[in-house]
Amino acid sequence: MSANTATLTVPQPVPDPALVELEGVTKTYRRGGETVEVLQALDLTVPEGDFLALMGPSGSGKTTLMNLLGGIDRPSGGTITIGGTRIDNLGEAALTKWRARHVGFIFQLYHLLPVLSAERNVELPLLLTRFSRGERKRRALAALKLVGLSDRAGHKPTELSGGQEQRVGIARAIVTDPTILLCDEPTGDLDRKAGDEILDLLRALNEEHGKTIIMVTHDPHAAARAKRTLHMDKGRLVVQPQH
Amino acid sequence: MKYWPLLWSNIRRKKLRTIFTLFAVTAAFALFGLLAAMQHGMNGVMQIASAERIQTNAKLGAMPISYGPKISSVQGVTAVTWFNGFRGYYQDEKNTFQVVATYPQGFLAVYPEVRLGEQARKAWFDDKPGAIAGTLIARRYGWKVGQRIPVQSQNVTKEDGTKTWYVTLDGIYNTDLPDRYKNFVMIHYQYFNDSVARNKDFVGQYIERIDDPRQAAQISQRIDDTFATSFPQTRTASEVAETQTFIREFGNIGFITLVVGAAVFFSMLLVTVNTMSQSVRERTSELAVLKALGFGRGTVSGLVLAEAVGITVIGGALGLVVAWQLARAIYKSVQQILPALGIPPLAVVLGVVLMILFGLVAGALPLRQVFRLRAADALRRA
Repeated sequence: MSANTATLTVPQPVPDPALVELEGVTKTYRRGGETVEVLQALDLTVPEGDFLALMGPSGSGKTTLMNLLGGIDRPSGGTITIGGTRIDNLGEAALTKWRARHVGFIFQLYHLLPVLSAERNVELPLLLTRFSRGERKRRALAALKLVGLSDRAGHKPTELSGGQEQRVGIARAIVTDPTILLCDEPTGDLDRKAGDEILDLLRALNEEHGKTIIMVTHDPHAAARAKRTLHMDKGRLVVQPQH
Repeated sequence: MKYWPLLWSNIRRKKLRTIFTLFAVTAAFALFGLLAAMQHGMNGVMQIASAERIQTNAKLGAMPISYGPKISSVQGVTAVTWFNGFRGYYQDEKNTFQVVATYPQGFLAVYPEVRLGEQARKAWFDDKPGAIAGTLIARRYGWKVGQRIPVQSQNVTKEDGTKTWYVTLDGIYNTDLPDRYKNFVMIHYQYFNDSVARNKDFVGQYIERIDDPRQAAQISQRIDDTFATSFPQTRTASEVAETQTFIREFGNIGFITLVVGAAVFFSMLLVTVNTMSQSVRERTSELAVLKALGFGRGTVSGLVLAEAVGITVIGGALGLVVAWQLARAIYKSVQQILPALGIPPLAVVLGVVLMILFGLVAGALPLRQVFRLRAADALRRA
């Protein structure tokens, strides 16, 4: 443990009901002949309606934690319960279904499909539902309207600015009305102005639409827009020293 | 169908590459179709050949009609017919077909595969300017029995300087032989010979039916011995032996073409499969995004395989259409030696199976890589 950090027991009381509960979660990788412990016996509770920022240096395990919460990676130990469902022991197919229904991902590099228009990109998660084409289109356009991009529905990602691409990414994340939004450095690739607009949007989604958001960021300015901030270092949640 | 926009967008992602890939698949399957057509043509030659038929040709030039009675008297010969004729057309010079002048009774005796009603037989035998036509040509021009048909020659001239023979259609025959044999107009040799300006009383070929196929060589020898001191001398052989000689001479070239063609076909497809695999590998991170969004293995696999199979099936189908057109064009030049040349239905079925198979392989190879890669890693790499 570094000299200026200490093991964290959750620093403030959390309101019920708890949406996300992690108990003793560990994650290890084999690299060469060596075992690397990325997450160490991590406990975390996130209440419904929270907007949590996760900060920490590179390699501290933030993104790994996000991947575990999103069900695109599996823990080596411990339990992860989200919305009352234990996802750490779900089978591959069940986990994929669960992810489609409950998680909205917002990536640093947007990860839009370059061959599709903004509307079609937003529609992608809806392809996994039983909605008709008309209903999918209506919902995709509504999501684009919510992020302020109604007039860019027919544009391809290459015809959009970085901020607009990220807005499309957010529209894609919310179009299925997921239980939780997971944002991995959502402003990391944007200038300050565009980044602020994205943070405003996330804040609005949290405050006005009650979305639970967990955001990984390096940027204290971005973290300040969240309701609370937790710090990670070397695979543990740590108490950040007061300056 | 809801995935169609995604599929279509991916296919159009790099238009030039897709066009070249489609072109390569089309070329490969055009080659496949042509090879199949040629193989079918070669096989067809043997299938048409009858062990109970022998054929007599002049060693030089044409043979006089006077050979006919002598041949029919050779021991072992049960029926004889002879052929002459010309390339004719109906109404328009584009409507060409083969007009065969023959000895009707002999023709139907030598070729029992040709089916003609009893009434039509009798009508044709008794009607010197009468003719019979194959089912296909009769259907093509809407000919009816009893119709008077002006058959015009491209090269052969009548004594009066005209080139038109008027015939009455006495019957329409059918046969299990290849389609080419359903496109003939058969007329009386006598009617033709009476009015033709040149080569009167000569025939191009005699065809004999024999009583014992095992005696074909001896009977052939007897016929040739009959004309040993005549001019021209004859060369008689069984249809099967003639065909085998043809297969030996022509078949060697055919075999080499087949082997080289098959090698080119598979090489082109391997290159194509590699290109298609490369195109999927380039999109690993996008596929990982789909997985992260909740697209299951089955759906992601389906998208990749549908795209690959779509390209091979579209390209392959175009290739078979090209092959069909080419085979039709080639057939016009080689129908005398390869009357069965054409793409058989079985080859079309095999072609479709190959298209699907190659598409699956092209998609499956990079899919292995996609599934080995965890979505989390792929997203990090992007």
